[in-house]
Amino acid sequence: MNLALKDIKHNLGRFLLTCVGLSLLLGIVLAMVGIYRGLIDEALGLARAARAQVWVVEGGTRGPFAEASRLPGDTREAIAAQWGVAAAGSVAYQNVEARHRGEIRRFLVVGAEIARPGGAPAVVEGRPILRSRYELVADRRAGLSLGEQIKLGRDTFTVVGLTENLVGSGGDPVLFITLRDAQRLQFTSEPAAARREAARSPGATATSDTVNAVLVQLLPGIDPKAFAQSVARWKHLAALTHEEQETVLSRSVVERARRQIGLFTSLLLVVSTVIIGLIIYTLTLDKKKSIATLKLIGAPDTRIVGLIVQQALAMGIISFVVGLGLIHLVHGYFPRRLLLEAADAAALFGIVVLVCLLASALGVRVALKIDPATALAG
Amino acid sequence: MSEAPVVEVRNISKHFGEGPTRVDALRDVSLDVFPATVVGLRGPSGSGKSTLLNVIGCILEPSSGRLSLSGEIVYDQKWLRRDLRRLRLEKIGFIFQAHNLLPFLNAWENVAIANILAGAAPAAAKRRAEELLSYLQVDHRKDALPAQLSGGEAQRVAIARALANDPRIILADEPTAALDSQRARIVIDLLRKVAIEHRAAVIVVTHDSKIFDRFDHIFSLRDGALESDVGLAA
Repeated sequence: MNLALKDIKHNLGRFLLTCVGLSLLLGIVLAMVGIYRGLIDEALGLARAARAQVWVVEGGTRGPFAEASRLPGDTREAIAAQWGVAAAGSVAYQNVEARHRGEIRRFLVVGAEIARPGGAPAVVEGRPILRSRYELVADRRAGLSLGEQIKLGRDTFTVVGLTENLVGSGGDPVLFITLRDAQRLQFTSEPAAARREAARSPGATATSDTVNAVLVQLLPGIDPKAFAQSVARWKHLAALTHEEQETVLSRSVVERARRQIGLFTSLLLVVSTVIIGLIIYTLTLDKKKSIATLKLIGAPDTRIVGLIVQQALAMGIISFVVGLGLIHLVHGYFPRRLLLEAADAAALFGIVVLVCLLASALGVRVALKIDPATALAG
Repeated sequence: MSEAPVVEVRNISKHFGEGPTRVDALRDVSLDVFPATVVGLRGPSGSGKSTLLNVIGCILEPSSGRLSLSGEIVYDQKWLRRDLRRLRLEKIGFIFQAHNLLPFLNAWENVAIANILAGAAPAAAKRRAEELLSYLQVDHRKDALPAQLSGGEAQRVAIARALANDPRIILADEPTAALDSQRARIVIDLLRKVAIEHRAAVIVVTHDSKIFDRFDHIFSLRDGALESDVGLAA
């Protein structure tokens, strides 16, 4: 005869209501962890999609995601000529606001060379960019459809392909265009501004052949770290391996967000512990007479402790499962990508079990202190 | 009486506190309760009735004296049994003023729990509970929760629980306090029936003078001391 289950059944309404409240709280904890994972995945997604083993950037910087990096356009040719390089491609990144269907939207525009590292990875619908001008591959989250046109800067682009789950570290959907289009988008001034600049500095010619990074794929057997070190010997260049780039992205770029989410997650877990603790404490106080009676008729302490701990665990586990189900149901409606990994859910489940054991300690303490003689006291 | 007493209280004293705050709750109390007898324990509030019941129930440690239950000396200046919980489970049945049934268990489960705590298998405990509820003529309410039982039915279920492990001693603390005089007499007569048929010693703490004639003996306590031993029905 399981006393914990019998007591839960007797107070089913109150127990379930408590579980619903707790499941919302644990659901938010899961959402926080999911948002954090999503943030990391999104931040790394673009770097991973580039399929580069080495990122060559401006000397003294850790660009192009952590800080600004500008390289002359011909850097790619110099790098491509190095021994051990299988392929190299220049890329340019910029955030752009554009009016689309009457709304101002933000995008991360990636300019890359056709069939070279840095271009759009797996196109899930349509085709990759084949023409050197005015074609665009968009992530589905941009809300663009195949064949649709969108104006970026002074040019109008046609959507020829769609990718999935590619956003910048700020959550903006990624649009791929050719490097030439990206350079024009980044450096070509409005006509009035260009006329003013020409009047101020007659004869000066500003070059727009600038890129943010050169992405390198190496031949099999070439050590990316050694190659990066050899490139870094060129004083005006710096180089990061893909692993270093991921570290920069996950540590530097999303570090603040990671800390914020970590803080909120910890606070929510503390609040959950306190809530479970208080509820179990209250339930134990409600059962004081019953516990005294059980003790008086000879129930061992293990039976009393079991009653309280099992109720706390039931509350935590049911709330966790409901919270998990709830988040699975609504995760598509979150403004940020929510990535729920089984390992995270399992770890949180373990934490919830620990929290329940911790929270039941107060109730157990009260129960063990109850004098069996109080059952006789009218 | 030729049979040995089931409850043997010898020179039991109990005090709380020391020095000027010392309160003598029991002073040199001695009494015997024999099998198949129902004895009453009466006295004004604060006379030591509950303290004596708690001492006999092995809930409260006396300050001095000797206590024997079913022929076993359990206290002689100190507890001689370490596992008092087990002793209570096996030898003593408790009946309370407010029946104290567990609100989350139905009638048969409230009876069976005592048996299960003693190590019985759930099926055997259920059979035993049903037998006892039938014996106390409340088996038709076996699936009802305590809140759905009348005062008399709840008290019968509580008596059934007290009998679950065939105890030799039944301690009842004001079991008729919540009942009218007719039902109170029925309960005491039921306890008498149980005492005779189970060869148990039943000790009832009561204020209710209307049921005094139902006891074999009445022990009166005043200021912690036993005042008189009045033989009645015996």
